[in-house]
Amino acid sequence: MSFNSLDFAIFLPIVFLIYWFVAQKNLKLQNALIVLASYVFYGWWDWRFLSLIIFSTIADFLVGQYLRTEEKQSKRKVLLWTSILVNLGFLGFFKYYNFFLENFIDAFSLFGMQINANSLKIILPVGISFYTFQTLSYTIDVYKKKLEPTKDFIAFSAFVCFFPQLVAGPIERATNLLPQFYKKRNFEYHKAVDGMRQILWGLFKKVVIADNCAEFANQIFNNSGDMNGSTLVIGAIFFTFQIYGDFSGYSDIAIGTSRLFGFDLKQNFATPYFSRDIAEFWRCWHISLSTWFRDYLYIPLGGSRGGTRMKIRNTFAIFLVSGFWHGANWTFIIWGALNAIYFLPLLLTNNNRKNLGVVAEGKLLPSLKELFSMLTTFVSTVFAWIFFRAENLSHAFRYIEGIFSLSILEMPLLNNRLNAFITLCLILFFLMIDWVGRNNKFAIENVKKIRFLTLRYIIYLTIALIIMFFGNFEKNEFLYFQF
Amino acid sequence: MKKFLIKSFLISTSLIVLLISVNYFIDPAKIYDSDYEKKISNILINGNFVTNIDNYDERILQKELIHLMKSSPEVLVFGSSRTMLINSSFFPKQTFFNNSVSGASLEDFIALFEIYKENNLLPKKIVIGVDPWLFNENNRQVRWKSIEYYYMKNKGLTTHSFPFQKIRQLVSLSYFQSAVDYLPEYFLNKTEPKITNRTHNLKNTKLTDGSLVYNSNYRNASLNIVNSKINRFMDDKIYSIENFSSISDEIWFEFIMFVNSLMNSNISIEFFMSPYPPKVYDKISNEYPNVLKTERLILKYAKKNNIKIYGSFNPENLEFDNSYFYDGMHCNEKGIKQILNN
Repeated sequence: MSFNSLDFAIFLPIVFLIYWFVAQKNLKLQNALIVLASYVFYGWWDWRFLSLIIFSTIADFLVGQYLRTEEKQSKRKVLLWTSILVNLGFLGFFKYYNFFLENFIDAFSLFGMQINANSLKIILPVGISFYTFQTLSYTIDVYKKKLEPTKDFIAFSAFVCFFPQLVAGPIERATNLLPQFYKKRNFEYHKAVDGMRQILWGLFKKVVIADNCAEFANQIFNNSGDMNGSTLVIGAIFFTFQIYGDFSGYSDIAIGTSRLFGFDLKQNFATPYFSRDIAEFWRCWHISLSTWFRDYLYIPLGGSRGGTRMKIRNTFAIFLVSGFWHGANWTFIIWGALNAIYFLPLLLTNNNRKNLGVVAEGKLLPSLKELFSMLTTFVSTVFAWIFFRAENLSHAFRYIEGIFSLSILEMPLLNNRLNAFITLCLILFFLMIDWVGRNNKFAIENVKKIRFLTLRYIIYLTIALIIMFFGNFEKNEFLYFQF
Repeated sequence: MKKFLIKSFLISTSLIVLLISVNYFIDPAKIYDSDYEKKISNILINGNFVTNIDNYDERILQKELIHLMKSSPEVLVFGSSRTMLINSSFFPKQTFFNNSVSGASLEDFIALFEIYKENNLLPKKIVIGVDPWLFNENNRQVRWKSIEYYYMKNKGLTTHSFPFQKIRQLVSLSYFQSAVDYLPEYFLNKTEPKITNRTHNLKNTKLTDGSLVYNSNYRNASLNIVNSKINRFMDDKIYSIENFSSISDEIWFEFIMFVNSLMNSNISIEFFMSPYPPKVYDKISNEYPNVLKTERLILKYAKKNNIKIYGSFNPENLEFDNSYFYDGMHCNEKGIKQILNN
């Protein structure tokens, strides 16, 4: 079920009440309830794919058990590779089989060889890229002896399928999330209220910002051949906010929901569109995935310790894989490559860690220099998102060609100008709140510091009413479910 | 915990009460105002056209109308919004009634026929609007549930169905937004159905023969606007056939049984296949092969049973361009006229 559905609105309070009132005294029972609730949550989409999660869970648990006693390095390696092959095998089959097959056929046809092979009608299991990476982090950490393998199968199952973050992250590390399943969890009022606050803000981002932007982004991208340059620019901007609102909204709801159950998940977004360079952007965007790739791919490849050639190779590797992780399409790979090209100059000039703090910290507004840096980073990001959103590479190139034509000087063509205007005003409101709350884990976290209770409630109610009045309640799935 | 639960309860309850009250009392689709359809049916049965009727339960209206009929029309039309424009002028010298309802599914046809049967009204001919989604088990059409009782009765079953849809609509946020948009009309009392003697009005008009004349904005849209409506229609998945993975054997069998039973009751059957605009049809041909399969199946069945067919899903067969359409799936008056007169 989706976070923005009536089903979830009924499901959540039921699980919450059973969790704290029926299962509170028994940690094992609480964990078992989480497993059961997570399977129901996931099975709501397609119960058949539960078998994949269960298989992955059993395989990685067993690998962990064998790694506990196995001291011989060669055997430990075999165990590690078993886990990697099982997890990446599922991912590869369900997500990339057709892509590789079609590209092999195309490649062979270049040499005049015809291969007859039929692509399969494969349904991509929701969230497979997220939970496979999460379980992989467990086996890799156990292999590296950074983490003691668990003996508690229920706790491990709960870690793999924890429903708030099962289908679209944040991708949690075993070192952070798994130990939380061993400890007794007591209800904390402030944590729960904080969770509710974050859920409210996440819903705002999803149904008000992302889903309203999606209306226009879809309209423009799907008919890009008939649109003038200025409309195409607006389409790319709408998509830029759609993807941010959608994914960071999901993360907020996931983190908030976890807090209701006494868990702390890692922050996944830190106002990325206020970044002053692309390196900062990647420290603020989908943090759980970027750090996963950093720790399990970039650093093992040698990181930035080697010479220039190695730095370039590793940077491209991490960005290309990250692009490919998003989907079996060349558009994602080019999107990754483009980001690597943006990033490389910073890395090679040792400027990639220049902007580590929060922009304009302690100030109301940024300086002109900061504003300029933010705008150039934002424009580069918008440009890259065109590849991410396009159906295929030729669509992306035609879209860009359309932007760089004289028609960019024409008036934008939008079907419903009033709605477009309202959506732009909502984006401005969103950016304003995001700017004010850029120091926090989520934008409205600081509302708790307001002393006047009435004012606090006025803010919550205003956001709730904006959601009710301006939200888009057509059935819109979260974009990242497809990855 | 107690404090958290009380606060959460109070806040969520106040928002839910606001939501339910607005949805129930403003009620833009007249879901909870059961008299609305009665008002419309009384106007029509008394021989007047009725306008200013935007939102109502079309199934309930049909039920009310059939109950008020004193004798059966000779020709009936069962179909969706794609057949609503068929009027009595195409069937001269015969009494005629159009029972089309938006998003019609097979259950609607069966239930409507059952209402006629219950009132001892049997027509001589039924023109059935065959839409591709009729045979798609994932068409998401649930509106027939308003007359579910009659469908179940036809099947020899009883129903005590709980009005889930009505209750779900009470907490629907999109219904809440429609209600808010509707507020000015509600307070200015502009929502009551109005008697008229003109067929073409500013708002949708229902004629005494059950056919519909669209509001002037929709009717008189320029070709440019129609083109952009068609483009927008194509942006989304095509209405009601989005998950048309196969032609449902079960529905196809039920359809054949229904049509055969009508023919066995000496009711003559004709099929009406409303076309899609050229660009939409191209998309359908590429992405929804089951629509083409459906068409072939219908043609085969009709040929075998000597059933007359009007129209085709394929606009090329009718030499239709966009000027024959109101939007991505509805033929205009010119289109309907051309199909029925050929």
